[in-house]
Amino acid sequence: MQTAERLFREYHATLVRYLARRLGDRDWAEEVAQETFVRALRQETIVNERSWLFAVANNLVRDEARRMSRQRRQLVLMAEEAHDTDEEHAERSLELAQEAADARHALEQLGERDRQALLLKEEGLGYGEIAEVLEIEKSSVGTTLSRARRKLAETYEALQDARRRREQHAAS
Amino acid sequence: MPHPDEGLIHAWLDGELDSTDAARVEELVARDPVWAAAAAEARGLIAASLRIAGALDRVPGDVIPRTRPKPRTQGWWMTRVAALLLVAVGVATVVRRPASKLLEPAGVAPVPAAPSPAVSAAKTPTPAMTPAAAAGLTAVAPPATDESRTTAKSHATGTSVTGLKPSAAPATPGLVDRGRLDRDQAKVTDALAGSVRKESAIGAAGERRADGLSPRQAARERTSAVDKASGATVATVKAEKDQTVLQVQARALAPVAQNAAKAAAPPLRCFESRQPTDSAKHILRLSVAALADSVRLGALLERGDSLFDRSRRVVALSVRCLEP
Repeated sequence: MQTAERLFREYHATLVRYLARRLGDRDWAEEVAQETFVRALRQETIVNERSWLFAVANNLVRDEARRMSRQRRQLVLMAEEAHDTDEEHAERSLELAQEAADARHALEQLGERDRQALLLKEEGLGYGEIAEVLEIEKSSVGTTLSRARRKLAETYEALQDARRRREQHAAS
Repeated sequence: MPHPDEGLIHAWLDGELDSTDAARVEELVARDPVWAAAAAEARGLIAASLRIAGALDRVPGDVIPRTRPKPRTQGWWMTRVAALLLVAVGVATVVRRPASKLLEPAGVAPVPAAPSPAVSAAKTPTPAMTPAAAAGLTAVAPPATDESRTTAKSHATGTSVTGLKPSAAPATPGLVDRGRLDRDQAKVTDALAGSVRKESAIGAAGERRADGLSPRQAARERTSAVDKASGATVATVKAEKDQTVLQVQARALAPVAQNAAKAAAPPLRCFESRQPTDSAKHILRLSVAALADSVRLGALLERGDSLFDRSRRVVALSVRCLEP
């Protein structure tokens, strides 16, 4: 029981954040994280706790995420539209929501492995752990990350530019 | 000079290189402007990724609809309805029958089914009884005092009562043993009170529309009333302990019997079962309260003279209740 509490205390927040970033749904992320910890409790021995937890979480969401990606994109767009039409929403909140939507769109432009590597790195996993989770060579993690970071940043900037142009066009 | 390796630079900036490789990259970045520009760009990408990933944290909840539970099999509602009907019919039958038998008025011939010994003794004078004792059956009980009520209550519940004065009435030869009758009387009183409580609980839901009380409140009030009635009754036992035992029994039973008679016949609804259609038809006797609860909970739907299940299929038709 102490092990369970320690695992939860040390890794729950970062695992939920990783999953929420990846899935775009905090509730879903919470559910997957809980299932991950349940499986951890059933596991007798875990050599590298952090990479094991992230690998299990990845496996849990992999199939379902693939199946539901189209539906999720559609629903996110609907949520954004509803968000945009909320006239009472503060301007700052709208700006943040747009940034989040652009970030989400940019992230979805990455390949699955690049996206996972990037999000795992943002959660503090080392190259060795990322290689373990993604089952790739450690030496290729740097290249994977550089590619993912570049594409993410470039796509995000492109989305931001397009949004600014639309706003200018609407203003004129 | 080698061409800048973007992966190597990212690994260097992430602190993932060993000391040898890190020193080599550091030297290249310091000496070569191309490597320096690549390192600067990599720093910018890392910072941008961090910021963009941070923006991802502003995610809504419940974007993805939860997976709906699998629809229950069709037999599930049948199980629930069958269990509900079984419980309702069982409770109504088991609780009602003993009470009705106990509450038959004096002078009516006892039914062939063997009533309890105590009830037999109370209703029909045995040959051993004196005429005076038998006449006491119709005597009126005087009001009970608080003291006597308290004492009698403990007596009725079967606890030993110390200091109980012996009967002042002369012992009648051949009269039934007083201690045994006391115990029997207490059992009967408890049984009647228990029956009335059960009937009250069953009937409470049916009455809630009339008196505006919730089922629980109504049941509580009914139980409280029964407790008071039972208390008064058993108090009579103590107050009349100087009289004959049969007089005490008669007075004890009378008010409880009146209350039980009111509650012994809970309103019932009868239905002719239609499910499954090829089975032998049988009559279901449902208490109105149980039926109302089932309708309220959505387990059943009553419309016209038909009883539907959740899938809007007719499971029973309302029919007149006949005496069982």
